[in-house]
Amino acid sequence: MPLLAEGVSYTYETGRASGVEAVRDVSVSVDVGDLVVVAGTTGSGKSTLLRLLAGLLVPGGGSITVDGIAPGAREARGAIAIVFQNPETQFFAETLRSDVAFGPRNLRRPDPEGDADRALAAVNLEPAVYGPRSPFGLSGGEARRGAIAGALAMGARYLLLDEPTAGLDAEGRRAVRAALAAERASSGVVVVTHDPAEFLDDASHVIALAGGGVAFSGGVDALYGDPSAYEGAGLALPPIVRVQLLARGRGMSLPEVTLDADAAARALLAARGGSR
Amino acid sequence: MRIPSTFGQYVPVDSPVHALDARTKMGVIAAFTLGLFLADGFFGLAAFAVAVAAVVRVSRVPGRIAFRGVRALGLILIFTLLAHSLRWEPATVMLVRFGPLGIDAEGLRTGVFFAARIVLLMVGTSLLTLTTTPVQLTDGLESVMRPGAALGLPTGEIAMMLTIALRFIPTTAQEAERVIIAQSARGARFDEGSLLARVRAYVPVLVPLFVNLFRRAEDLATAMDARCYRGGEGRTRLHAAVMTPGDWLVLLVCGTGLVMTGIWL
Repeated sequence: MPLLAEGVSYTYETGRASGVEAVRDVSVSVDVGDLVVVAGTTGSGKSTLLRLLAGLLVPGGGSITVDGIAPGAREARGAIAIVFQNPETQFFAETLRSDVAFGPRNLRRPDPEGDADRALAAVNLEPAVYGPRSPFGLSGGEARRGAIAGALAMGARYLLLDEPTAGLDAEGRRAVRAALAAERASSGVVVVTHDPAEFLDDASHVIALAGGGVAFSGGVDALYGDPSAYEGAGLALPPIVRVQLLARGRGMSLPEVTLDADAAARALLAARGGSR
Repeated sequence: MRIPSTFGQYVPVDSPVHALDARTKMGVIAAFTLGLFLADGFFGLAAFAVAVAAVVRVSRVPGRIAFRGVRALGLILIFTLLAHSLRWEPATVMLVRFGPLGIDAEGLRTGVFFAARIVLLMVGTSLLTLTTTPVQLTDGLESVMRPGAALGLPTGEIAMMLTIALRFIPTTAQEAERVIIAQSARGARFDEGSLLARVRAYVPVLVPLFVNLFRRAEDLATAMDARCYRGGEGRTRLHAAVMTPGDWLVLLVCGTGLVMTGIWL
């Protein structure tokens, strides 16, 4: 049974009679092995949707269930892990291992330190090297991955992340992307971001939000087939994808659209029929 | 967990009271407080009550907000009333008796008088922060403190520190809420176990909060340095506060009112 949202709406109380409707009639389904990308510009309701899925907010309309139960319920505790924006600002412990073990300790898991080491390895931070280090002395990319490990260590079936790559350099982004790809083996992942470029290759489902409503919802192939609704939501496809779509539009046959620059170049050259 | 919004927070509406100079309002508050303690009869309090109600009306601050502070005083008010009106095995005639305890009319009258004075003081003084932005307030303070500069008091720096401190109260409250939610999401519980356990539960909140505060302070210091901040001396203001004839008139009226209170009420 998946993490399931059906026709979910949420309105923030502002003191005025109407309030602000941040999310309107949104449906999502996340299974183990999925990577769902929720894209949208500032104020599109994507962070609110994430809080709804995590059970931190209760939807005003529609329903959310985690494997059949409400996400705020006690039995659902530990089923969902959430990584907020800039999670590295929440470090508090003396060593990274102890900080990452905070979640499993709270859940009374039998071996929190072991959970922590496995999570650190999953985000490609060698436990023997990084475990004993102070979390406050890490580089930006290391700190972000360490903080994500703090959520992974809880062994949740669903992992929700808010802008996991914001503010990271190219190397940090690659490392986060690889960590999430590996995590899909054991859980369902939801990534909320205003710049989904690096996740499009891996995504099993893409949802574009605009003004709280769903502008586009579908697979990556459907997105590349007709990106107009996605772009109407104020989002832009990566330039490398645009080039390949333009080529297709001009009748060149490309076997697949890819974010890999080398592969794209080879495919374009092959389609043109020239050696160079 | 929610950080409660405090009473006395600036209400951004346009009114003659808002338009007054912060120094004028501070002068009026000083005269008001002094007058309130000079007045020793219900007639005097009634006069002040009418004045406060009129100013609340003119300031266009919603009554609900203007009187919000009174609720926080509830315990103090009840204590004041009881302390003045309760008598143990009284000899005189009482209004009400519960065994050895009694409430006498004279005590009740005194209790009501003091309680009413506290309420007026609270509502009247809170109007200062309700109608003055923190920046105007600290600028006014700096100006009022200026004579202290001759004695070597760093008035500019004190005012700057106050401004920054006030500016960061809401930021810090938001930050605290953010960290609490994030740690809750990692299974932290703040409402379980013994008192000690609950206090310890806040360590994962307080450490990041302070780390981020220090980091932010460092950034702010660098940013101020980069903009050539060298202390308060000789600094000019973008919005220089000017005492208008209206300000002087208000001060004159209130000063006269204070003298009259001293003589007649």
